[in-house]
Amino acid sequence: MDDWTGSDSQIDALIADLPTYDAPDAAIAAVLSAVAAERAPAPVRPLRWPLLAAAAAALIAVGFGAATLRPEPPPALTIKGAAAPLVTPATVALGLSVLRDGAPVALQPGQQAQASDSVLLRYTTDRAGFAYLFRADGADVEVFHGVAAPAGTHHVTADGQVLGYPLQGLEGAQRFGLAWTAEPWPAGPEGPTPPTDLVAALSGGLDRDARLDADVGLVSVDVAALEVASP
Amino acid sequence: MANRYESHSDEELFFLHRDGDPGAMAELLERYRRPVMTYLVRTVSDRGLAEEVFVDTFLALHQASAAYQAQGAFRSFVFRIARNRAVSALRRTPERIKRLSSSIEAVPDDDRRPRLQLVHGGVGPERSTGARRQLRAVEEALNALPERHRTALLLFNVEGVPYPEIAQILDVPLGTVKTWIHQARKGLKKQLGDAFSDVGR
Repeated sequence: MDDWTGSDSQIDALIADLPTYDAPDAAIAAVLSAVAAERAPAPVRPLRWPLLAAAAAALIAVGFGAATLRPEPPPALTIKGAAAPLVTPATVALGLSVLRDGAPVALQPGQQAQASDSVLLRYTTDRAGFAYLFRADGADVEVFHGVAAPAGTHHVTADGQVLGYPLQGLEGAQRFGLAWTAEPWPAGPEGPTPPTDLVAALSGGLDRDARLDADVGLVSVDVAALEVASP
Repeated sequence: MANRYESHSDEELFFLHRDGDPGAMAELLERYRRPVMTYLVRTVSDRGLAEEVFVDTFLALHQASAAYQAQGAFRSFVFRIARNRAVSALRRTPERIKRLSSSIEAVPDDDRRPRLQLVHGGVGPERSTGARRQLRAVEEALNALPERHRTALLLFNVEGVPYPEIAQILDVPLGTVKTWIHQARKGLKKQLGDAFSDVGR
């Protein structure tokens, strides 16, 4: 076999073109859990390898599907705007964009998108927890993505590749939402089951930046609406 | 919504973490999760092992935070630890190394409308069979390189790390880095012969 006669810059371009890989959220959560455990008050019986043991336990106990996080229990909860003690909910934000000529273009609230578009979702949370992305169509809530997420900005990805929600088959007003929760939602036959309080609130026209007292604990929600043009 | 850590450099974040800030490590993880994971997958050639080494790397980083003095770029510090951990893992578990092959994450179809689909980046369905074959050949050729040559080339090409910083990460002279990258390219050309016989002419 003859050596390839391409130039060094061509070799470099081939390397740079290789796919990238993202660490699973479970690995991120394992690190953060182990660090938090190590910083917590020392146990009565000292562990030999506290950090590795904590991280290994976190990975083994929950697998790679959804790492269990143990944030501090939230105080008494309230629906935003109600006359009740304030709480410290997570601050979350959801942004939508579509690809135009290969580049993402942000969608403003209520802006129109085409049925041929796929919506890219970018969400931000200020603390670790469980992030769920959903589409609400009246009382129908479709949860299409759920991960254990650390604080920060996230995109919907799989193995380093960005995923989008295709709008094909949809028409008119659509609401996409981010729900952040400290505890994972129970698994249902069609994926994670959103709390009934959230479904009810969405049916009632829940809009941006809300906090809910849900049957699985605190839920912080941000909703972004768009209009899908008729084909 | 602004991320209050966005304006901080990596070094500042690590000092914040050292001083007990609860969110600084999460921000560092968010910045480095993809570059470190990509480097580790390409180094150990095993996704599961790479994930274990990833966790190990950041735990080691945390343990080193008390003594951290910001001598050199934080990125060098991270990749140095990652590389050391990867090399140790390779020595411990050679039987777990397997060929890394390109794959496309396909969202399975169901009877209803499709949900999330690949839209951007990576080896996507829009690439030709020939392009995918060539990418696979490049990955296999990379795997065949000695670890030190592969690491030097990946840090330079994929992460854009300059030669002097690579020398810091690998703890070798600058001239050695240049030699290793040259030898890596030479090794790749030797491996790629047939797969790229119609390219570069």
